[in-house]
Amino acid sequence: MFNRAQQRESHHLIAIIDDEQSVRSALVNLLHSAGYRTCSFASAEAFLASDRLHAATCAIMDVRLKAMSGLELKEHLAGLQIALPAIFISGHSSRAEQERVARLGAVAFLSKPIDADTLLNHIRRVTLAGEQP
Amino acid sequence: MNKPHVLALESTAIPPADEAELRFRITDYSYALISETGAVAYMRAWRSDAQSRPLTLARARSEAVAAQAAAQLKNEHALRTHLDDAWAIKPAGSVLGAGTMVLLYDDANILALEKLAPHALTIACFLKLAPQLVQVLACLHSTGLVHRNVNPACFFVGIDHTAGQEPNYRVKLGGFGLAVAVTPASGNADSVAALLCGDLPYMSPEHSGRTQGAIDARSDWYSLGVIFYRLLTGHLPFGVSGVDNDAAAWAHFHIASAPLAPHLLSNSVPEALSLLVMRLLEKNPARRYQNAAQLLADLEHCRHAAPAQAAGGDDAVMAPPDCTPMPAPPALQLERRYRDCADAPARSETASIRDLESVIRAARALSEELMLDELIQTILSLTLEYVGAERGLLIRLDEQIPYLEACARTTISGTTVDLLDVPAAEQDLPLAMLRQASDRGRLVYADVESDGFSAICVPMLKQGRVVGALYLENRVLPDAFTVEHTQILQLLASQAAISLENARLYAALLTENKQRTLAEKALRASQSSLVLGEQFNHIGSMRYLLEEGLMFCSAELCRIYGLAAGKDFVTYEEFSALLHPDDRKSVLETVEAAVAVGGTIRVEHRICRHNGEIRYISGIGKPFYVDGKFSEYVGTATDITSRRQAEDALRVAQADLARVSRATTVGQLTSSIAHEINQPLMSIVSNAGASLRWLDRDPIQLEHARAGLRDIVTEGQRAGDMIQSLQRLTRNTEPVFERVNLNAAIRHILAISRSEIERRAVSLSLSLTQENWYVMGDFVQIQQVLLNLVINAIEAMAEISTRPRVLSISTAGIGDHSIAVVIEDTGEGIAADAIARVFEAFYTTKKNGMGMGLAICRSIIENHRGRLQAAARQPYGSRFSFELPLTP
Repeated sequence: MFNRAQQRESHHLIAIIDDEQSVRSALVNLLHSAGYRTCSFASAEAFLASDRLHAATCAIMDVRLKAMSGLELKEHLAGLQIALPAIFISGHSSRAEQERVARLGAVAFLSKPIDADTLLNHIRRVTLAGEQP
Repeated sequence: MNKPHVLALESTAIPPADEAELRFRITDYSYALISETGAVAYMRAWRSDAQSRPLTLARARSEAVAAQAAAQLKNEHALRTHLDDAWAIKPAGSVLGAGTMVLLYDDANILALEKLAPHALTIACFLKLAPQLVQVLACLHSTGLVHRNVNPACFFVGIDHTAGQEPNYRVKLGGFGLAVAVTPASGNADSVAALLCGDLPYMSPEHSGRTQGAIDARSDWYSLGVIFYRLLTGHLPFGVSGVDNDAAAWAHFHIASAPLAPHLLSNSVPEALSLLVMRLLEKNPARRYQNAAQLLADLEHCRHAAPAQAAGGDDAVMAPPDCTPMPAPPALQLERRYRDCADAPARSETASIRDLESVIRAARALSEELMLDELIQTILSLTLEYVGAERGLLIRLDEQIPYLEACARTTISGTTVDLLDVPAAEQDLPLAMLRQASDRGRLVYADVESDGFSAICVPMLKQGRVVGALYLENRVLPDAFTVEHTQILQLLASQAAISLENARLYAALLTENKQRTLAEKALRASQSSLVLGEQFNHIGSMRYLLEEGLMFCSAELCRIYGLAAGKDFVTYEEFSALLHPDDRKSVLETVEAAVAVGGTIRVEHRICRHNGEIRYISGIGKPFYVDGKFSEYVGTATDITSRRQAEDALRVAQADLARVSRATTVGQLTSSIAHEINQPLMSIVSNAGASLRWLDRDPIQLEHARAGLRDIVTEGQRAGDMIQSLQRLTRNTEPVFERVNLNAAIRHILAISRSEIERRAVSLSLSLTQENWYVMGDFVQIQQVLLNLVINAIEAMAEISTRPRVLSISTAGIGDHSIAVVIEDTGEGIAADAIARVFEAFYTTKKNGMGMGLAICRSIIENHRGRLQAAARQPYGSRFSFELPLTP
């Protein structure tokens, strides 16, 4: 099943935005193993400034980032009319943040440490939806 | 020797009735003692009514000799028909009781010669009396009886005064208790023992039973010779004063000792008279006077040969013939008149020996007296009596200044001695005379005829040094002192000096004893206060004898150590065994190191009593030098168990408080900590998921899987470290002092607070120098201080939005000895009046603060021998800093 999926889904690019290098590299490793292409950024600003903004199929972003937060990034993208599906991860999230994430129409809100299969399932769901006409 | 006297009843008072030695009323009579001879006492008896005539009676002198006296009185009673009132006191009647016998005599107004002439008689007086003594004894002998106990108590004398004429002596013989009829064939019928009951000084050689001859009339003549000797010289021919009761000694004297001729002893005695006495005292009865006639003829011859003045009258006194007084000189020549004793004519060897004997006896009396006051009295009484002086002074020379110690006077009632302690003055004695005596160390004799003044000053020598003087004078009778007094006086004075010194030493000893008793009492009192003090304070004291290896413990120390009752010392091994096993090594090492160099021992340790109880002891020992030799330690051991328990409780409370405080502080970092732990976990789960997938690939992607696993290991390690740091901060552990790298501690704290710092948008400025410098301390406690200061700094900047929030942490060396840590913020700062109070417990400006954090921080830093300070930072914010001493 993975093998088929890998071959089939390998053209999707997943963006990873987290200020912790070890977290970024771990997520990159996980997505590669699932057959996705990845691009990773240490901050929201770096992502917004990159040329991958429109290439990405999905974005995994930490709620708390050093300058612009994950939620602000999502709102910013909405303002730019970029409907990039976003999966939020957070180490310590408040109820207010969760509600705000729900309003922003996020794909998922996952608490650190995440479950690898859950994350991959959400991504597959996003990528499959994107392939449907 | 007393000066010669004449016989006079008036001067020899019979004791009045109320002073009678014996006074009882069996037959309405009062009694007074007249004389005692053998076992018999002669008494004057009179009725209380004045009309009746007094009687004389004889009875036992004491209960102890009642039987003996009764035998003697029976003998006298049996002989009464031989006796005649003309020459004998003859029993007029007798009273016979149970085992007792009393003889009564009509004679009254008589006295025993013994009482009447205790001293030497003048030659004139003697020559008048002596023939009568011979006559009455001759009368007895003419009846065929021998008296066998002739002594002064047997002669009774009455004196008849007729106006304008010489007194007439009436002499009678008595005391016939031992008298027997002479039976030449039978010799001595009585045992010698019985005869020896008589007066020992007066017995004849024959009385001893150790000579060839039996007792006969000539034995009585011998005894009379002894009486004559005494009447002439004032001395017995043998012995000193006759108080010695050793019969064997007396027998020896009488048989073997040659008496000194009276004229050699007393130069007032004419040689002819002296030879007469010596003939009476011949050892061999055949060489004595064989009958009274020859004796009386010789006495008569002596009487005519005696100087006219001697025979002239009873008032005449024999002057020492060779003490020729100098002409009365002017006062200025006073000193010249005091003749040295050395100028006195030499005396015969025998006289010296005889006087020496009496000196030795007197010396013995002096040396036996130890009490100073009594001794002074004895010295003065002896010397005054001996030389017949009227007044005597005992002078002490103190640094050459004379002090009167005592003044004695001869009065009718005897010698009175007044104890003084005053400087001697000219009116007391001629000081020139005293000077002369003390300067020359020899006796000085003065005789001033015009003043009727005669004096002797005898220096008292001790080890060749003049320590005092005896001064004797006679103003009534010039020339009172005879030459022979002088040498004896010198010897007596020397002995007196020694005895006085002894008595003074003895008095000093008594004083010292008294002081020592007082001191001992004071010592006992102070000892009991010490014991009480030790009890109250739980302080025991000890002496540790190095050589013996013994530690002597005070009562309180015994209690502290819990020693068995009665044991007050411990050996080194026992002491070692008392120590708590955990403390033993270090205590013994400390003690041995201190003993090795003679240093002070200071140890705190635990002991285990025999019952297992543990006590905390604080001990101090200091080396003690005995005779300049370091041979023992003295010290104290204090039971500090209760103090230590209180300290322990406080420490536990403080530790609890610090732990709670740490936990609270750490709690403030929960989200930061969660973040810090979640990050590695996030990495781990992601990598784990990835690795599984790489392994499931076909072909299997081992390199990718391995890379993921490597990251997992790293991140797992990181999470573990974080957890450990947290545990160390919150776990309840005893502080452990070790080498601590301050920079490492700071980095640890920043690791758990980093995300909080980031979240609060605080920028961190680190300036950590001196990477390899260490301090001694507890890692956790130092971290606690750092964490507190960091969090305080972060919180102080929470409301700041108009300026950068900067937390700066720096370390810097201060000289070579200390390191300083400074933590600054750009926050609200501390009000000037609050700076002094920020370290107080329960002082806080935070909404949810306990106010304990900084108080605990300060006490931690102080326990690390450092200082924690707060100050305002310019231009805003606050600055906390602490310094700690470096350790190599």
